[in-house]
Amino acid sequence: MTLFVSLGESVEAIVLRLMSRAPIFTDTPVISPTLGVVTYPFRMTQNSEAEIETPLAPRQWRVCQQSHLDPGDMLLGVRIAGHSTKPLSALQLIQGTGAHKACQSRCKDFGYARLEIPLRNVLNRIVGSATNAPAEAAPAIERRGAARGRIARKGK
Amino acid sequence: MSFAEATFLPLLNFGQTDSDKPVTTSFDYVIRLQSAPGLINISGAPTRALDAALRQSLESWQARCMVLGGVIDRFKVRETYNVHYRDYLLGHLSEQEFETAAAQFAYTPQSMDAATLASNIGVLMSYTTEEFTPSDVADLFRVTTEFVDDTVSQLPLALVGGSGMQTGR
Repeated sequence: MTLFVSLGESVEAIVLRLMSRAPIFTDTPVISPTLGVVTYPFRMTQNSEAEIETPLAPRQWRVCQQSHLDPGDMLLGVRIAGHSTKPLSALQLIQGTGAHKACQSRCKDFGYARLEIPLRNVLNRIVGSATNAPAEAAPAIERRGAARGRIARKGK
Repeated sequence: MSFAEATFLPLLNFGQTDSDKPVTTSFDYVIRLQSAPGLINISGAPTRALDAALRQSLESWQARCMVLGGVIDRFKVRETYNVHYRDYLLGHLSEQEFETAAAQFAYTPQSMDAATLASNIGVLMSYTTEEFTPSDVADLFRVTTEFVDDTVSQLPLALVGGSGMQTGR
Protein backbone atom coordinates (compact mmCIF):
# COMPACT_ATOMS: atom_id res chain seq x y z
CA MET A 1 0.00 0.00 0.00
CA THR A 2 1.30 3.43 -0.88
CA LEU A 3 0.01 6.70 0.48
CA PHE A 4 -0.01 9.82 -1.67
CA VAL A 5 -0.44 13.27 -0.20
CA SER A 6 0.88 15.71 -2.82
CA LEU A 7 -1.38 18.11 -4.69
CA GLY A 8 -2.50 16.76 -8.02
CA GLU A 9 -1.83 13.10 -7.28
CA SER A 10 -4.59 10.87 -8.60
CA VAL A 11 -5.79 7.28 -8.51
CA GLU A 12 -7.97 5.28 -10.88
CA ALA A 13 -9.61 1.94 -10.17
CA ILE A 14 -12.56 -0.29 -10.80
CA VAL A 15 -13.62 0.00 -7.17
CA LEU A 16 -12.48 3.03 -5.23
CA ARG A 17 -13.24 3.40 -1.53
CA LEU A 18 -14.00 6.99 -0.53
CA MET A 19 -14.01 8.27 3.00
CA SER A 20 -14.45 11.78 4.38
CA ARG A 21 -15.25 13.30 7.73
CA ALA A 22 -17.70 15.69 6.09
CA PRO A 23 -20.50 14.44 3.83
CA ILE A 24 -19.51 13.52 0.28
CA PHE A 25 -20.84 16.15 -2.12
CA THR A 26 -22.04 15.39 -5.61
CA ASP A 27 -22.32 17.59 -8.69
CA THR A 28 -24.44 17.17 -11.78
CA PRO A 29 -23.28 14.42 -14.17
CA VAL A 30 -20.79 15.28 -16.88
CA ILE A 31 -20.40 13.62 -20.26
CA SER A 32 -16.68 13.06 -20.03
CA PRO A 33 -14.76 14.02 -23.19
CA THR A 34 -12.03 11.58 -22.13
CA LEU A 35 -14.17 8.55 -21.33
CA GLY A 36 -17.08 9.33 -23.63
CA VAL A 37 -19.66 8.30 -21.01
CA VAL A 38 -21.71 9.99 -18.32
CA THR A 39 -19.66 10.45 -15.17
CA TYR A 40 -20.85 11.31 -11.68
CA PRO A 41 -18.57 13.89 -10.01
CA PHE A 42 -18.01 13.88 -6.26
CA ARG A 43 -16.13 16.08 -3.80
CA MET A 44 -14.84 15.43 -0.32
CA THR A 45 -13.84 18.40 1.78
CA GLN A 46 -12.48 17.25 5.12
CA ASN A 47 -9.99 14.55 6.13
CA SER A 48 -10.55 12.66 2.92
CA GLU A 49 -9.27 9.34 1.64
CA ALA A 50 -9.57 7.53 -1.69
CA GLU A 51 -8.21 4.00 -1.78
CA ILE A 52 -7.98 1.50 -4.62
CA GLU A 53 -9.80 -1.70 -3.70
CA THR A 54 -10.14 -3.35 -7.10
CA PRO A 55 -7.52 -2.17 -9.62
CA LEU A 56 -8.11 -1.65 -13.30
CA ALA A 57 -7.62 -4.69 -15.52
CA PRO A 58 -5.57 -4.30 -17.57
CA ARG A 59 -3.57 -1.85 -15.43
CA GLN A 60 -3.97 1.02 -17.91
CA TRP A 61 -4.88 4.63 -17.06
CA ARG A 62 -8.07 6.07 -18.55
CA VAL A 63 -8.19 9.71 -17.36
CA CYS A 64 -4.69 10.75 -16.32
CA GLN A 65 -1.43 9.27 -17.43
CA GLN A 66 0.19 9.84 -14.02
CA SER A 67 -2.61 8.21 -12.01
CA HIS A 68 -1.62 5.52 -9.52
CA LEU A 69 -3.21 2.19 -10.31
CA ASP A 70 -1.88 -0.40 -7.85
CA PRO A 71 -4.12 -2.11 -5.33
CA GLY A 72 -3.99 -0.35 -1.98
CA ASP A 73 -2.72 2.94 -3.39
CA MET A 74 -4.42 5.68 -1.43
CA LEU A 75 -4.85 9.45 -1.59
CA LEU A 76 -4.96 11.23 1.73
CA GLY A 77 -5.74 14.92 2.03
CA VAL A 78 -8.22 17.59 3.01
CA ARG A 79 -9.91 17.85 -0.35
CA ILE A 80 -10.32 15.12 -2.89
CA ALA A 81 -12.46 15.36 -6.02
CA GLY A 82 -13.16 12.95 -8.81
CA HIS A 83 -15.83 11.08 -10.65
CA SER A 84 -17.24 7.63 -11.20
CA THR A 85 -19.07 6.09 -14.10
CA LYS A 86 -21.84 4.80 -11.84
CA PRO A 87 -23.61 6.66 -9.03
CA LEU A 88 -21.80 6.32 -5.71
CA SER A 89 -23.05 3.53 -3.52
CA ALA A 90 -25.08 4.38 -0.44
CA LEU A 91 -23.17 6.37 2.16
CA GLN A 92 -22.17 4.54 5.31
CA LEU A 93 -21.45 6.22 8.63
CA ILE A 94 -18.34 4.62 10.06
CA GLN A 95 -15.92 5.26 12.89
CA GLY A 96 -13.26 7.72 11.77
CA THR A 97 -10.31 8.84 13.82
CA GLY A 98 -10.84 9.00 17.57
CA ALA A 99 -14.37 10.03 18.47
CA HIS A 100 -15.10 11.31 14.98
CA LYS A 101 -17.48 9.64 12.58
CA ALA A 102 -16.83 9.56 8.85
CA CYS A 103 -18.79 8.99 5.65
CA GLN A 104 -17.76 6.14 3.42
CA SER A 105 -18.85 5.19 -0.06
CA ARG A 106 -17.51 3.33 -3.07
CA CYS A 107 -17.12 4.10 -6.75
CA LYS A 108 -18.33 1.12 -8.70
CA ASP A 109 -17.46 0.25 -12.28
CA PHE A 110 -14.77 2.94 -12.56
CA GLY A 111 -13.57 5.70 -10.30
CA TYR A 112 -11.05 8.52 -10.57
CA ALA A 113 -9.97 10.77 -7.71
CA ARG A 114 -7.34 13.45 -7.24
CA LEU A 115 -6.05 15.68 -4.46
CA GLU A 116 -6.98 19.35 -4.69
CA ILE A 117 -6.56 22.62 -2.83
CA PRO A 118 -8.81 25.68 -2.87
CA LEU A 119 -8.24 27.82 -5.92
CA ARG A 120 -8.15 30.91 -3.72
CA ASN A 121 -4.89 29.67 -2.19
CA VAL A 122 -3.39 29.43 -5.66
CA LEU A 123 -4.63 32.90 -6.58
CA ASN A 124 -3.31 34.37 -3.35
CA ARG A 125 0.07 32.99 -4.29
CA ILE A 126 -0.26 34.70 -7.66
CA VAL A 127 -1.17 38.04 -6.09
CA GLY A 128 1.50 37.61 -3.43
CA SER A 129 4.15 36.88 -6.00
CA ALA A 130 3.04 39.91 -8.03
CA THR A 131 3.39 42.25 -5.07
CA ASN A 132 6.81 40.88 -4.17
CA ALA A 133 8.21 40.57 -7.67
CA PRO A 134 7.51 42.25 -10.99
CA ALA A 135 6.90 38.92 -12.74
CA GLU A 136 3.58 38.98 -14.58
CA ALA A 137 3.21 35.29 -15.25
CA ALA A 138 1.26 33.19 -12.76
CA PRO A 139 3.22 30.45 -11.02
CA ALA A 140 2.27 27.07 -12.37
CA ILE A 141 -0.12 24.94 -10.38
CA GLU A 142 1.65 21.82 -9.27
CA ARG A 143 0.39 19.33 -11.77
CA ARG A 144 -0.18 15.65 -11.50
CA GLY A 145 2.96 13.67 -11.07
CA ALA A 146 5.01 16.78 -10.39
CA ALA A 147 7.26 16.99 -7.37
CA ARG A 148 7.69 13.25 -7.15
CA GLY A 149 10.24 13.73 -4.43
CA ARG A 150 7.53 15.00 -2.12
CA ILE A 151 5.32 11.96 -2.39
CA ALA A 152 5.12 10.38 1.02
CA ARG A 153 5.42 6.65 0.68
CA LYS A 154 4.48 4.68 3.73
CA GLY A 155 4.13 0.95 3.92
CA LYS A 156 1.23 -0.29 5.92
CA MET B 1 -28.97 58.71 -26.60
CA SER B 2 -25.86 59.07 -24.50
CA PHE B 3 -25.79 59.02 -20.71
CA ALA B 4 -25.06 62.69 -20.70
CA GLU B 5 -28.04 63.47 -22.95
CA ALA B 6 -30.26 61.30 -20.80
CA THR B 7 -28.99 62.73 -17.54
CA PHE B 8 -28.51 66.43 -18.11
CA LEU B 9 -31.51 68.64 -18.58
CA PRO B 10 -31.15 71.70 -20.77
CA LEU B 11 -31.02 74.80 -18.61
CA LEU B 12 -30.23 77.52 -21.08
CA ASN B 13 -30.18 77.71 -24.85
CA PHE B 14 -28.49 80.58 -26.58
CA GLY B 15 -29.32 81.34 -30.17
CA GLN B 16 -31.62 79.42 -32.49
CA THR B 17 -31.23 76.55 -34.92
CA ASP B 18 -33.31 75.37 -37.80
CA SER B 19 -35.14 72.38 -36.29
CA ASP B 20 -35.19 70.53 -39.65
CA LYS B 21 -31.42 70.43 -39.90
CA PRO B 22 -29.25 68.20 -37.75
CA VAL B 23 -27.16 70.10 -35.24
CA THR B 24 -23.43 69.49 -35.26
CA THR B 25 -21.91 70.55 -31.99
CA SER B 26 -18.34 71.72 -32.06
CA PHE B 27 -18.07 72.16 -28.32
CA ASP B 28 -19.60 69.48 -26.09
CA TYR B 29 -18.29 69.43 -22.54
CA VAL B 30 -19.69 68.47 -19.18
CA ILE B 31 -18.83 71.26 -16.82
CA ARG B 32 -18.21 70.67 -13.13
CA LEU B 33 -18.56 73.45 -10.58
CA GLN B 34 -16.95 73.13 -7.18
CA SER B 35 -17.18 75.72 -4.51
CA ALA B 36 -15.10 76.24 -1.42
CA PRO B 37 -14.82 79.24 0.93
CA GLY B 38 -13.46 82.02 -1.24
CA LEU B 39 -13.04 79.80 -4.24
CA ILE B 40 -15.07 78.54 -7.19
CA ASN B 41 -13.48 75.89 -9.33
CA ILE B 42 -14.79 75.17 -12.82
CA SER B 43 -13.58 72.10 -14.65
CA GLY B 44 -14.83 70.15 -17.63
CA ALA B 45 -14.58 66.90 -19.49
CA PRO B 46 -15.53 66.09 -23.07
CA THR B 47 -19.01 64.61 -22.98
CA ARG B 48 -18.03 61.89 -25.42
CA ALA B 49 -15.15 60.75 -23.19
CA LEU B 50 -17.29 60.81 -20.07
CA ASP B 51 -20.02 58.92 -21.88
CA ALA B 52 -17.56 56.25 -23.04
CA ALA B 53 -16.21 55.83 -19.53
CA LEU B 54 -19.69 55.42 -18.09
CA ARG B 55 -20.64 52.92 -20.76
CA GLN B 56 -17.48 50.90 -20.17
CA SER B 57 -18.16 50.84 -16.46
CA LEU B 58 -21.74 49.74 -16.98
CA GLU B 59 -20.73 46.98 -19.40
CA SER B 60 -18.14 45.75 -16.93
CA TRP B 61 -20.74 45.51 -14.17
CA GLN B 62 -23.18 43.81 -16.50
CA ALA B 63 -20.55 41.22 -17.39
CA ARG B 64 -19.86 40.56 -13.71
CA CYS B 65 -23.58 40.22 -13.00
CA MET B 66 -23.85 37.74 -15.87
CA VAL B 67 -21.06 35.63 -14.38
CA LEU B 68 -22.58 35.64 -10.91
CA GLY B 69 -26.04 34.99 -12.35
CA GLY B 70 -24.69 31.96 -14.20
CA VAL B 71 -23.16 30.67 -10.98
CA ILE B 72 -26.46 31.07 -9.14
CA ASP B 73 -28.16 29.14 -11.94
CA ARG B 74 -25.61 26.33 -11.60
CA PHE B 75 -26.17 26.12 -7.85
CA LYS B 76 -29.90 25.87 -8.43
CA VAL B 77 -29.38 23.04 -10.92
CA ARG B 78 -27.06 21.28 -8.46
CA GLU B 79 -29.66 21.62 -5.74
CA THR B 80 -32.34 20.09 -7.93
CA TYR B 81 -30.02 17.27 -8.96
CA ASN B 82 -29.13 16.55 -5.35
CA VAL B 83 -32.81 16.10 -4.51
CA HIS B 84 -32.79 13.15 -6.93
CA TYR B 85 -29.54 11.91 -5.47
CA ARG B 86 -30.96 12.11 -1.98
CA ASP B 87 -33.97 10.08 -3.08
CA TYR B 88 -31.60 7.50 -4.55
CA LEU B 89 -29.60 7.28 -1.32
CA LEU B 90 -32.77 6.92 0.71
CA GLY B 91 -33.87 4.07 -1.53
CA HIS B 92 -36.81 5.92 -3.04
CA LEU B 93 -35.26 5.57 -6.50
CA SER B 94 -33.56 2.51 -7.95
CA GLU B 95 -30.14 2.95 -9.52
CA GLN B 96 -31.70 2.66 -12.96
CA GLU B 97 -34.34 5.27 -12.16
CA PHE B 98 -31.72 7.58 -10.71
CA GLU B 99 -29.48 7.25 -13.76
CA THR B 100 -32.46 8.13 -15.98
CA ALA B 101 -33.23 11.19 -13.85
CA ALA B 102 -29.57 12.18 -13.67
CA ALA B 103 -29.19 12.00 -17.46
CA GLN B 104 -31.38 15.11 -17.71
CA PHE B 105 -28.73 17.07 -15.83
CA ALA B 106 -25.71 15.70 -17.72
CA TYR B 107 -23.77 18.20 -19.80
CA THR B 108 -20.78 18.16 -22.09
CA PRO B 109 -18.03 20.54 -20.93
CA GLN B 110 -18.02 23.58 -23.17
CA SER B 111 -15.07 25.19 -24.82
CA MET B 112 -14.32 28.63 -23.52
CA ASP B 113 -11.70 31.23 -24.17
CA ALA B 114 -9.01 30.97 -21.48
CA ALA B 115 -9.08 34.73 -20.90
CA THR B 116 -12.84 34.61 -20.33
CA LEU B 117 -12.48 31.78 -17.84
CA ALA B 118 -9.71 33.62 -15.99
CA SER B 119 -11.87 36.73 -15.84
CA ASN B 120 -14.83 34.68 -14.57
CA ILE B 121 -12.67 33.10 -11.87
CA GLY B 122 -11.52 36.57 -10.85
CA VAL B 123 -15.14 37.72 -10.49
CA LEU B 124 -16.06 34.61 -8.51
CA MET B 125 -13.14 35.05 -6.13
CA SER B 126 -13.82 38.77 -5.73
CA TYR B 127 -17.44 38.50 -4.70
CA THR B 128 -17.54 35.27 -2.72
CA THR B 129 -15.74 33.93 0.30
CA GLU B 130 -16.19 30.22 -0.49
CA GLU B 131 -13.20 27.95 -0.95
CA PHE B 132 -13.71 26.80 -4.53
CA THR B 133 -11.43 24.08 -5.86
CA PRO B 134 -10.55 23.66 -9.55
CA SER B 135 -13.19 20.94 -9.92
CA ASP B 136 -15.77 23.25 -8.30
CA VAL B 137 -14.96 26.02 -10.71
CA ALA B 138 -14.99 23.60 -13.62
CA ASP B 139 -18.52 22.55 -12.73
CA LEU B 140 -19.74 26.11 -12.18
CA PHE B 141 -18.51 27.25 -15.59
CA ARG B 142 -19.12 23.89 -17.30
CA VAL B 143 -15.55 23.33 -18.44
CA THR B 144 -13.06 20.56 -17.71
CA THR B 145 -10.92 20.58 -14.59
CA GLU B 146 -7.80 20.28 -16.71
CA PHE B 147 -8.77 23.45 -18.54
CA VAL B 148 -9.13 25.29 -15.22
CA ASP B 149 -5.68 24.07 -14.15
CA ASP B 150 -4.10 25.11 -17.41
CA THR B 151 -5.81 28.50 -17.41
CA VAL B 152 -4.77 29.45 -13.91
CA SER B 153 -1.26 28.15 -14.50
CA GLN B 154 -0.55 29.92 -17.72
CA LEU B 155 -2.41 33.18 -17.88
CA PRO B 156 -0.86 36.47 -16.82
CA LEU B 157 -1.90 38.06 -13.59
CA ALA B 158 -3.86 40.87 -15.21
CA LEU B 159 -6.43 38.45 -16.58
CA VAL B 160 -7.41 37.02 -13.21
CA GLY B 161 -8.19 40.37 -11.69
CA GLY B 162 -4.83 42.01 -11.08
CA SER B 163 -3.66 43.38 -7.78
CA GLY B 164 -7.07 44.89 -7.07
CA MET B 165 -8.68 41.48 -6.69
CA GLN B 166 -10.04 40.71 -3.24
CA THR B 167 -8.75 37.25 -2.50
CA GLY B 168 -9.01 36.94 1.24
CA ARG B 169 -11.85 36.54 3.63
